[in-house]
Amino acid sequence: MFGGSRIKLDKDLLSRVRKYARIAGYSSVEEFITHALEKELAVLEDADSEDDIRKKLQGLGYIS
Amino acid sequence: MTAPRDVEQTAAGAMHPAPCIAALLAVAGLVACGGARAEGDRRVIVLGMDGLDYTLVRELIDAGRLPNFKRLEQSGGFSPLETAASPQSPVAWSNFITGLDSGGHGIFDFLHRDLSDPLPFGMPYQATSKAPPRGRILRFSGLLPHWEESEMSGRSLEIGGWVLPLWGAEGTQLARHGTPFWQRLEEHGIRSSVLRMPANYPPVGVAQRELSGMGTPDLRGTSGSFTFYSTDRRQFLKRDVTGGEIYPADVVDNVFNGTIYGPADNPVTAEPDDELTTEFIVYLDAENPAAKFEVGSTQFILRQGEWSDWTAVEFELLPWVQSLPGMVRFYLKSVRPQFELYITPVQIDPLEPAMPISVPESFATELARSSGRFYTQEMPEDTKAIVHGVFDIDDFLSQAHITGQEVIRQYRQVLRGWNDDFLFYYFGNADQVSHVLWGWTLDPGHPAHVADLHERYRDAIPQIYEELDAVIGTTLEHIELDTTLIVMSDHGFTSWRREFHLNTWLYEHGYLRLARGNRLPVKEFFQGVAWPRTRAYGLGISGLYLNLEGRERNGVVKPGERDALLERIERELLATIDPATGMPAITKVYIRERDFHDRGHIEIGPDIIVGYAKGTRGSGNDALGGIPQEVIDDNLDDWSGDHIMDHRTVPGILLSNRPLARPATSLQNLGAAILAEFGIGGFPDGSQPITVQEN
Amino acid sequence: MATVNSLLGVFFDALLYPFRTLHPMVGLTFVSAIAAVLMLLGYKATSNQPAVEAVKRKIAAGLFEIRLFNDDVVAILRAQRSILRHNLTYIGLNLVPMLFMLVPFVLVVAQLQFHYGYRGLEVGQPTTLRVTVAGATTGEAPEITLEVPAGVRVDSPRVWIPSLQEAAWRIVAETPGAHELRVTVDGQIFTKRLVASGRIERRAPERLAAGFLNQLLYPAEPPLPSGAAVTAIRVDYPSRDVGLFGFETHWLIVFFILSVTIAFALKGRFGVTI
Repeated sequence: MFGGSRIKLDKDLLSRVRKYARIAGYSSVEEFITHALEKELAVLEDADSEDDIRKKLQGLGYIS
Repeated sequence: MTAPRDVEQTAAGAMHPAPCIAALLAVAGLVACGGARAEGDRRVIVLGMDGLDYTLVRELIDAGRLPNFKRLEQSGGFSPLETAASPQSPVAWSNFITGLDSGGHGIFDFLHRDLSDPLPFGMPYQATSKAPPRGRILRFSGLLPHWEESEMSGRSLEIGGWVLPLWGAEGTQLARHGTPFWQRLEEHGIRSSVLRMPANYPPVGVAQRELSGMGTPDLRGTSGSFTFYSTDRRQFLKRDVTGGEIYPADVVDNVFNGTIYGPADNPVTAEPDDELTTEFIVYLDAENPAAKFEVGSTQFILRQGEWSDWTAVEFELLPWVQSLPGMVRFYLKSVRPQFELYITPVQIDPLEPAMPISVPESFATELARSSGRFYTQEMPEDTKAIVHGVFDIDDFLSQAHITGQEVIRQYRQVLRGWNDDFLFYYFGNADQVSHVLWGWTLDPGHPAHVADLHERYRDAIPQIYEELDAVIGTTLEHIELDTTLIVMSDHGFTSWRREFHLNTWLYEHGYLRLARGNRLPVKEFFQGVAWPRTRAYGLGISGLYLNLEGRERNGVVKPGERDALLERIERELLATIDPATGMPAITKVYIRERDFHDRGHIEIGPDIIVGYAKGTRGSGNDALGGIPQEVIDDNLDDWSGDHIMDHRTVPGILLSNRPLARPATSLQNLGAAILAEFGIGGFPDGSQPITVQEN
Repeated sequence: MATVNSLLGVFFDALLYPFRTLHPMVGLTFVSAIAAVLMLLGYKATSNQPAVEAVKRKIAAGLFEIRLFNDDVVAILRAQRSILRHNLTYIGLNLVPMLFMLVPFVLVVAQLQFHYGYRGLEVGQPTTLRVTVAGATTGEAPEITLEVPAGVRVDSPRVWIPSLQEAAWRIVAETPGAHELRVTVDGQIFTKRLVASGRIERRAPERLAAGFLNQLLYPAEPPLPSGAAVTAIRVDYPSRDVGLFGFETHWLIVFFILSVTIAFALKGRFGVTI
């Protein structure tokens, strides 16, 4: 799975993934999981970086 | 140049009657906009002196060093003033401004967390103001236009590598809620000027004139980022500092080419992280400890150890079309053997404000023209520079002196032109200097106490109190019999001996867990925390949050379990003994719904605010999600004084030149007391819960 | 050139003397009014007034034609072509008086710049004195000394910058008035005027080597002798803007607006067609 890297999923979660991948029209479980991860990563990557936040706030003497 | 004079300061000049008159009328700024003041009308001046401590004022009055404080004590009274829970300046001043507690005005800490952020804990941000919401940008893929999310607020258009704003752009928003007491004054026809009020950026704009104070960023959008150049490579080893940037300096043939860094991203270019910069040159003399600076069209000479005047700098946004104005001061710390140059954070230039720092917008410019340019950034005393060894004590005190004198000079000018009914003016110098010096100059029991430094600098804080005493003296000379003068502070001060790491405490008590393979210490941002197994975390200076289901992104604590868990944590916190002292490390725990009575904005607050014992404070490292190894250790930082503790132990002060019509005992009922001087009632005073509803 | 500048300097000093303690707008209005009158007289004397009147009549006729025949596209196009042609003639007729007035205008503007373009130094306000020396860059500082009169303090050690061939000092006026600074380089003595005063008076930020352009643009002090050891002496004065209807703007804009407005207002009285 995923180019050779194996990821362990809970049995119950895996069966839900299979079911909804089919319902949502994904051609495979892999495609569904890839899409879901990409979507989540995009949200995280689009957020302000920790470095930006650090720079903004750490001028406050109260924070070290 | 060590007692800097600003070139622009002389603009009004003594010689040109017309601008001079204009300056006195419009500029000094406090001219009545409506009608003349009737003889005998009540007038009120409130001088807000951040961090003045009741006990120290008492001692200095008794020692005969504060004669004008004593005059006030004799004529109107001197008493402690109950501060806010938690006693942090943004919280305390918001209590004063609105008459509400944190549940009403929505400011609980210097830092809040943004739950709309995708990270499990919500990214922290400075509580009193909030960046505008992200906007959308129209981009072209080939010929097809499409909208994408953008950091720029409102709608914008990307064309040829440039970003053009279209519509709907918003600026930074004030996050404090509630009605400021001066809005009530204005509603009753009392003309008000409110200068440098903390927790009022951007200025709310209901007084005749407002100038923002604490909460105002520098031009980079930070709380202050200095630049330091040094040929000493050991300085560069410390480059990963907070509150500034340290760069290696290359001096070639006695010439140094430097860069001043502006905002991290040019808003009008599509290129990401297109940092705005501007260049300058320093020519060092081969023999003398002096140098000539060329900054844009400005040239000046500094000797070693001298500060420059405010110097205008420009960052080019669009070549030849648009630039962003700012200003800096240079401090030539050393010419040789090492060349060391400190540059202040780039300030919003009040002569050309790039962001709204006053109402009306021209007010800041008028102030700068009449009494000189001034630091516009919040808390400008550069405590970070001394904490990181860029400044020594004398450097820090010289910079703090500049900031203090700028404010006093401006206040005197404002007072001369004052013709309104109400004036508030804020002095923040004592607070910031006390943070650095209090522990090791006034407390022989402080872990960083050094005997000879104690001797040398023990008068530094009392001297600032004396300067403020002189400000009161000037005010008393100026005012008429019908004017009430109130002098107040938002909290007191004490030595910060012990540092409490709340996240480590939570880890040790099993409320915060690390994912497998991770171990303490965690540097910042909760890296390695196992959120599905974490029930509570600390963020901000004294905030404790539950990892609540339905609220936190990966919340696990069921809402029904919340109250019991909070009470359990409270019990355990109060039972925590500092092994070094054998005394409780925490003497007060504030549970949000139980201890804050006002409503409307309580949801933003921490579930628990920790009230540390006097002398102990929450660690600055934990504030941004650090988790060190020890729960409590000695505070060996140069930041040696503080006040963010059990609020009962650090009261502020209240003095007045006459007994107040309605006595005030706390920050929360002081606003009502000010209104009562004008015969106005009905303002919140903490006596009954208020629910704030937004329009 | 130096003589012309010297005479002009004396003339403008005298002309603006009554206004030295008043708001800059007062003196500028006065100077603009004189300039307007002189421009009108100069224009009248150097322009072909009958031709100007004739071409203006033709332009007006063209405009009238457009209005009369606004439903006749061919007539409108013909009229527009005629207006364009006569406009070019009008511009051509104005070239001659413009050429006549250009030189005096530049001389006057240069003089006014040194009265209105800079603010005076205040007592206690530091400024930078920069001396550029002639000769090849050797890296060695030349023998150069600065002497200041009573009332001026040298506030920093000398900074020698080999790459610019420049020596610089920070100086501070301690008493108001005009002070003469003396710079000695290789035995040659040079002077530079320093004005510490809030009044409207002549201030020269630069004293440069002789040369037509230098003299044209920097007439406020006599040029440095040719071939001297010093090629420039500079004192930094802060620039001044003039307040006009609440806006701070460059004095030249105020001068331009005022003089043009006054000239148009008075052209009838002087019988000039512009």
